[in-house]
Amino acid sequence: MRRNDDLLDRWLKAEEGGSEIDADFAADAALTALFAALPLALAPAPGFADRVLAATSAEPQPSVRAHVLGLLYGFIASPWGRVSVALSLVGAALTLPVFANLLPAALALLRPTFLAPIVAHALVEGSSWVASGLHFCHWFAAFIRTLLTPLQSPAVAAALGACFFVPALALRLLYDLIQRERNWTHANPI
Amino acid sequence: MDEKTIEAGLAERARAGSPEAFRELVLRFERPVYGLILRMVRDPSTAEELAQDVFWKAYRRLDSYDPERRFGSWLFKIAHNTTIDHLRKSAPDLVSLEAGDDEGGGLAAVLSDPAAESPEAAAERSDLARDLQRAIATLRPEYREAVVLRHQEGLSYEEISETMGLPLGTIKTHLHRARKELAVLLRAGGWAPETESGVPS
Repeated sequence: MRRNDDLLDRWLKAEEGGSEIDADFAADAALTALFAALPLALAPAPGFADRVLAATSAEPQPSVRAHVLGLLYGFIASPWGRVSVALSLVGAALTLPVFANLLPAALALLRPTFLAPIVAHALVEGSSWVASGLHFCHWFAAFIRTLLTPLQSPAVAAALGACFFVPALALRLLYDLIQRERNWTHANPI
Repeated sequence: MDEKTIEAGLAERARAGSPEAFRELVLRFERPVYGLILRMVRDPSTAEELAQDVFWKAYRRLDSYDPERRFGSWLFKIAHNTTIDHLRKSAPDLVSLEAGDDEGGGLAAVLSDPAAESPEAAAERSDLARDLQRAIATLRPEYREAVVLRHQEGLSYEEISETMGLPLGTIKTHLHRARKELAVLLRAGGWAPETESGVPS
């Protein structure tokens, strides 16, 4: 006769506990414990990861952004990348006095007498854009009002509602159909 | 750092183009993904082919992975869809457990192969493991997948619901009925707990 197992007994006895929530929870936990204690894992043939990597390496990188980021990370991680970053910092430090001399000239460009005409021009341009936007909104509101006028008739409103309802229902049914295609019942009706 | 954070970090590095990070992800999930697919298609070579396809798709779609979710859950969803798509195309070619035995292949051969078991597995439980595997193999496919995801891979009901694309209540019903069926099958196989008189109940 076969030998019994403590975890197995615990699970099978929990299954006899009826359909109460506590019994169901206990049976669930007991079966999980049994699974954890048994050698149930299945493994692919050795070298699976290498085969997957070989297949993916033949593919282009997932995106241009990822490719650029990967190159950047690789460059910074390399000794030459680190030396380049260090030299750049040293170079920036050395050129700092030159930039310090240029700073007063740059600040002179920020004087009010120089900035005032530019700001005024920007305000005028911005105002014209706002006016154009308001004009468009006014036209659009009138357009919508014109469209809504026939809806005051109940028959037209009902027809329009049906026009929206039927495509929405069709889309919903199509979605359900696609989902069911991936349901086991449809995949393997045994 | 928890597993979810580690896996999200690996996925981010893999997305940035690191083959080492993607290799680490493959190594972490090759057994669960392969095991799940093998239990569905029951043919080792097809399972390996599909598992490779799953990882290839995952690699191509890393941009769509949300780091807030568990990577395993996302990967199982791809595995589920890939397996379903395969079975829809080739349902008549399903290999039965018994046919696999006859040909020296199939799920049963893999299950009886000691190399397929984890090294730390207790040898004295191999009989029970084999019988439990056989019982799982006889379950309906949706029950089988739910049982594997729940009790072997440790997914929550919500994650299983999302992976299999079924309502939460349906998943709970599937798991409840699957457990009952497994219990009946194991009792019938002679694994009933002994009563106080020493006789199996």
